[in-house]
Order: sequence, then C-alpha cells, then structure tokens
Amino acid sequence: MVMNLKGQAMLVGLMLGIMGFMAAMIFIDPLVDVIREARASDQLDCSNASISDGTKSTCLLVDITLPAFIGVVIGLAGWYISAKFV
Amino acid sequence: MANKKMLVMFLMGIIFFLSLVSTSTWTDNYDTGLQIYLKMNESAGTDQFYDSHKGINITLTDDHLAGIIGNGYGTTAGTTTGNTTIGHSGEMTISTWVWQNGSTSDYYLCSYHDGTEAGSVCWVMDANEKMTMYAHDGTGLKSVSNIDIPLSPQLWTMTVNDTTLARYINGTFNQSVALDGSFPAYSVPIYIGSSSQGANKGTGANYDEFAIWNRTLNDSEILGLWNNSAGLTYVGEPLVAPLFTENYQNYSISAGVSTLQNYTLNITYNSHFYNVSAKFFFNGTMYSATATKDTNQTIFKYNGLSIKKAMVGNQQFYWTMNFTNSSETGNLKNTTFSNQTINPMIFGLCNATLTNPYVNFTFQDESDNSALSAKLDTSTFYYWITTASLNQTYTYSQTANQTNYTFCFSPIDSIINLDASLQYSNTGFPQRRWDNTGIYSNLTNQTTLYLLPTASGIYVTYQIISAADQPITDVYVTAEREISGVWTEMGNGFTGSDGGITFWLNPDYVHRITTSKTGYDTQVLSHTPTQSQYTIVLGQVITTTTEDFGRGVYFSTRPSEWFLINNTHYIFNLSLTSNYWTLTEFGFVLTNSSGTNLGSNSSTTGTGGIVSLNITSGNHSRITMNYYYLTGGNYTNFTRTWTVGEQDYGFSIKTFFDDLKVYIDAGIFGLNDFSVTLLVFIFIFITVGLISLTTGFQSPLAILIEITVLVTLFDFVLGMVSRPFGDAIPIATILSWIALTGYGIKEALIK
Repeated sequence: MVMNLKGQAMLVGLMLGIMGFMAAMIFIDPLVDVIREARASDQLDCSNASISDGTKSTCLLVDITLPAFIGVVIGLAGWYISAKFV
Repeated sequence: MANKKMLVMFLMGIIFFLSLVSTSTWTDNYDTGLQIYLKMNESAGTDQFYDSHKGINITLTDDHLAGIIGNGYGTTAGTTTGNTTIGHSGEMTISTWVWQNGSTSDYYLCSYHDGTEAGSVCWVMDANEKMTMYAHDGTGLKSVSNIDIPLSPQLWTMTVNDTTLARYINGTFNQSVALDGSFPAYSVPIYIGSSSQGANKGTGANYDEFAIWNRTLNDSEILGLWNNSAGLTYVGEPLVAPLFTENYQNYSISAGVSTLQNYTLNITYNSHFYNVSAKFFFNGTMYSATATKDTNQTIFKYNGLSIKKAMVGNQQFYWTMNFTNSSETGNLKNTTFSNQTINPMIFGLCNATLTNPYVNFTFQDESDNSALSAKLDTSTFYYWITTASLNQTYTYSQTANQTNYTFCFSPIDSIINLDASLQYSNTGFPQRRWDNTGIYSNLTNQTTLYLLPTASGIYVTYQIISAADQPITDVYVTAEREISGVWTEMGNGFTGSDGGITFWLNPDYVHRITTSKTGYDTQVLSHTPTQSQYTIVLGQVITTTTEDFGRGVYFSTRPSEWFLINNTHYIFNLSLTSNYWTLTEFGFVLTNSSGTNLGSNSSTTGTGGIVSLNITSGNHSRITMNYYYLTGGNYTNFTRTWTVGEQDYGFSIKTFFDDLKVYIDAGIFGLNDFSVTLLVFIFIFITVGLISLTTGFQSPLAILIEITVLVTLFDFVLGMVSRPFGDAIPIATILSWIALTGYGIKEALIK
C-alpha cells in the first residue's frame, strides 16, 4: 500500500526529529566534560566558596547550561511535534 | 641355680665392662651434613687452621695449646678471630671441647650482630665463668641457662632445630629450651672467639675438635663424639680439595694516569661448586668482574679501569671469589695482593727531572726565513694518554726571548694526546697564535712557528657568514703560506660570536684560507690578502631527504573519558601501531599538575602494541600523559590531559541550586537570608501572577496550591527561605500547608 503525501511527510519529519534529538543527546557527554573542565579547581574553581562574585555568577551560568540545553532540546522537540503532528 | 645366677652376673659384668671401655670411631654418618671440622692441631708458629672437611684454611691467631686430641686452640692473645665461613640452613649441631683459661666474660662463638637476627647463635661466658647458649628463633633469643665452664676440657654440644635448643655435656643431654617453631636459615658465619660478627675479640676461651653440622645429631652420635672422654676426631681426606688454583693473572706492572687498564684472573676451581663469581678490588674500590667459564676453569676480567691522578703510587689489588653450590654459600676466598705502579703523568718545560722531549718549538722570520727568538706570551697544554676526560693541564709563559721551547713528558714510553694553544711574539713582530691538537710521542716533534715583522704584514679579518648572511661561530680557520714549496701554517683558530677571526699575514704572498665546521661545506680560499677584511660564505650541508616520522604511526590513549574521579584506579594505556617505521621504543609518562612523575611504561616492540599502567587518580587535579615513540633516532611525543575531581552525578538543576545555596551562604553580591527570602517572595509572586494571568487559574484554592508548591520547593527542598526558628523548622512551608489545609477544610465544610 502506498502511503499518501502527508503520511510520507510525517514519516520523514519523524525521522528528522529523531535524528535531531539523537544529535542533541550526543552533545550531552562532551558538554558535561566541558562543564567539569570549566568547574575544575584550576579553572573557575566553583567548589570554592571564596571565589569572587563574578566567578560565582559564571559558575551558576555554567551550572545551568546543561539543564538549559536539555530544556531547549525538549522544548524544540515539543514545538516540532506540535507543529507537525497536532 | 646359684651357678646360673653367677653366670648371668658374670656376663652382665663383662658387658658392663665392655661398655665402659668400648671406643667410638668416625663412621660415615658423621660425614652427613658435616660443614666444617677444625682439628686445631697446628702447632705454635702457624696461624692457619685447616678445615679438615672442606680443605679450607681458616686463620685463628693466638695460642696453640694441648688439646683433647692433638693440639687445641686458645684465644689468650685476643688479637683476632677466625670465622667458619658458613652459616646454616635452619638446623644445626655445634660441638667442641671447651675449657676456661682463667679469663672471664667472653664469647666462645657467635654469629649474631646485636642479638636480634633470627637464626643466629651464640655461646657466651659470663664473669663467673658460666656459659649460656643462645639461639634466635625469630621471636627472640632462647637460651639454655648458665653452667660452669670447666678448667679441664669437656665436650659441649648444642643442637638447634625449629622446635628445640638442646645442650649436651660430655655426650649426655643436659638441658633444652623450646623454640617457637622456627629457626630461620642464617647466612652469617659463626665467628670463633668473638661476638658481633668478629667484634669483641675474646681472651678467655679454649677449644678443640670444633665441628658444625647442618643437621641435629642424635643422642648416640653425640655420645659417640665424647667417646668415653677420649674424644673423636675427623678421619679421612678432606671431602673437597682446595677451592681453587690460580693459574695466572694478566695486568700491566705499571700504568699511567688517564689510561684504561685491564685485569684478568684465570682460576681452576673445585667441581664441588657449580658457580663462582668474583669482584675486583683496586685502591679500596670494588668492581664487578665479568666471567668467562670453561668447565671448571674461569677467566675473570675487569676491563677499562680509569687510572686517575689520585691513584699515583703503588696500588694493591686483589680478587674476591664467591664459590657456591646448591647448599653452600658464603665461601669467599681472596687472591693474594698484587701490585701495580701508577705513574704520574707530567707534561712541562723540560728540566733536570723532566728530560724526555716530546715537542720542540722554534721560531723563524717569515719574511726571510731566518731564525728568531720569541717570547711565549701564553701557552696552555691539555694532555692525556687514553681518556680525554682525565686530562691534565699545563700552562707556561716566558717574557724573555728564547730561541726554542722544549716540552717533555713522563712516563717516557707513553703516546699522548696534546691540545696546545700558544701565543708568541717578539719586539717588532706582532703576536701570533698557534692552536693544535695532535698525538705526540718521545720521537720529538719539531715545530717551527713563524713571526712576521710589523713592517711586512697587515691584520686581515675573515668574516665567516652563512648563505643567510648570519655570522657563524666556532668555525675552524687556518691560514697557510707556501714556504720552500710547503704549505706552512701561519695561524689558526675559531671564529667568535661575530663570526670573525683575525690573522697577521704577509700581503705579498698567496695564502690559503681553509674554513671548516661540522654541518657546513669546507671552504678553501686561495688569495693574496691585501685588504683588511674578507667575507667567506659557508654553504650549509643540505640534507637530501626529509623524513616524516609520523608515517604509518597510529595511536590512541585510554581512559576514554576526559574527567576522572579522585581516588579511583584507572588503567592508562597507549595503543600504538607502526606499519612503516620500526620503533626503537614507545611508551608514556604520567605526571600530575605539579609535574610529579606518577609512573611510566614503555615497550621496545618494533611494530608497536599496547603499554598500560594501573594507577590511582589519588587527589590529583590533573593527570597528563606524555606519550612518545622513538624511531630512526627521532623522538616524537604528544600529550593528553585528564581533569580529575570529586565524584559528582552530572549537572542537573540541583547542581545549580546547590551552588546557589553555597554562594548565598558565602554572601554573593552581599545577599543575606532576608534579601534572598525577599527575592524568593518576588519570584513566587510574579510566577503565580503570570500563571493566573496566562492560564486563568484564579481561584483561591488554585493560587494557594501554586504558592504552597513553590514555597515548599524554595523553602523545604532548596532551603532558600529564611528560617527564624532554626534550620530544623521550615516555618514558611508549614504555614503555607496550614493555610492550604485550612482552606481545603473550609471549602469542604461549605460544600
């Protein structure tokens, strides 16, 4: 049975979405490494409460990077699904 | 009946009598485990006691006195001790006839140093002439207690094994003590007449028929040694002939400083021993010798001994050999001392005592070839025979003109290396310099040095540069002129950092200027130096091929992650393959952030492979792997660095709030509890307002639920709301839940 045009577009869209999601997930590990590297004692030294306020702020931004990244990925996925399939 | 009784009694009497008068003989069983037997029969005038069992001479200085069988030995002079050259392998019997000679507080025999060595033994006589026998079983010294040492000889025997230290007197068991299940093997020899391994030499002990077995003799064997007070002595030939025969030694009777000397010892040793090693002792220093073995003949060599200036004089040397087999160690034997005369190495201006001329310098006027005298403004000579690093230096100067300077060397038969540098001049003849390194002998080298009058010469500077116009330092430049058909050196030297060198040359003649330096083409310039400066461009030797040492080399490193956890074991490895170059070596070195070496591993497999190292990440903050490979004389290296930190669980939003709490506690931007609570309040206020505005949830219950959830999050979960009644009471959370519960109950009651 031949799938109609909309069905084909949805299937391609689903495949692209999965590919995009996988690509985003692959970035998580290196992102974690980068965050660890940035937080290390010879870099920002985030575990040290005596660092400057500016450095602390940078640490907080670094901390929020991964949740923000995941949030953005999930948000984009939600938008894509709602836009394509709803 | 009575007759029968009398007959029985008669027979028993005969048996008893025979038992009293029967004598023991040395039977084969006494040979079993026998390590050493000193008959001590030598008479006065000799100080060598012959070990009848092994055929080893043992030196025991002091008295030779009447013993139980033949002569005995007494430590009356207390000058030295002999040692038995053996230890034991965990079980032993020591037997000797002993008696006192009036002195007190003495050691009869001993192998321990301070009494803490497991496996050591000692017989000690105290001030009351009582003897205690000690053995160390690993947990401490065990002993059989004091007993009088007789004035006349008694046979004292000590047996020791893992469980028991026993003493026998005159063949009869006397006393024992239990050991703690161990009597470890001990390699230190038993010293006779001293304590502490040869120290505290004694004066109060007499001995005869001294023997050691590496087993415990049984009671009847020990009784047999007593032999009804007659004693028993070793019979038969030594089981082993003398340890070795020295066939020859090769060495030079005399040697000079800075030479390398070789020494050879050829011995034939007894087949009782399957191995022999040797050390070479020269001038009090030990050197390990190499051995070439041919059946029982062994040649030891020590080659290349550097003779230093400090060794000048007569030097004694000898060899110490160590003969071993499966059961015997510590059989050390020295050769006799040999002598070698080390001659001083002297170079200098010939005089009454230094008379062997090696080089003679004379001077000529370059302009007319007439003989000249000259001053030797400075001269420095570095000289050596074989080893350049052991060179000696001689300097000399002479301010008065002399027709020649003759330098001599001693010893006369030596061929020497001479690195000479002379600066010479005369009034009206500018100074010239002569540098030369060569080999000289007592066939006197005649060297003519030329001077040129002031009016006949000019200073010519040669500037040596590269093709890139850069000055080249340390270029060796010689300036020659043909005199009587022979190219003769007028000067030489090395360029300075400016690449220049100046000669005093005659501008009327053609000169040959030769410049050379490793890595550059040698240039020969033939010209008449009429100008004060010339430039010579040295072409660099071009390497025809450029190698790519990375060709066909592939590598990877582990661990694969970039972040490591502290105090965790990781296997670091380098996987390297090379399918083009043959590797000389490859490996890696791990260091921490301060550069401390944490470990390394390498391999010499030509095609590569995997080298690993298991180490803990400890408390380091970084670990760097410097990995490398060597091929074709080329060293190539790379580095990889791992960050090391505490265990964490990723970077969820919790990390953000954890850090936020820590920073707030530390006062980030001057925030305190109240201001943070205020910020939280504003955040909750805005959030609830936005939710109500955007979703239409405006009922009091919905708003209460939103507030309660957010307050619980910020107060109870994240602890960001002030707690005036203590950290244990999240008052904001409690109040919000009370409000929610109360409102819920009210709504329920109304409905």
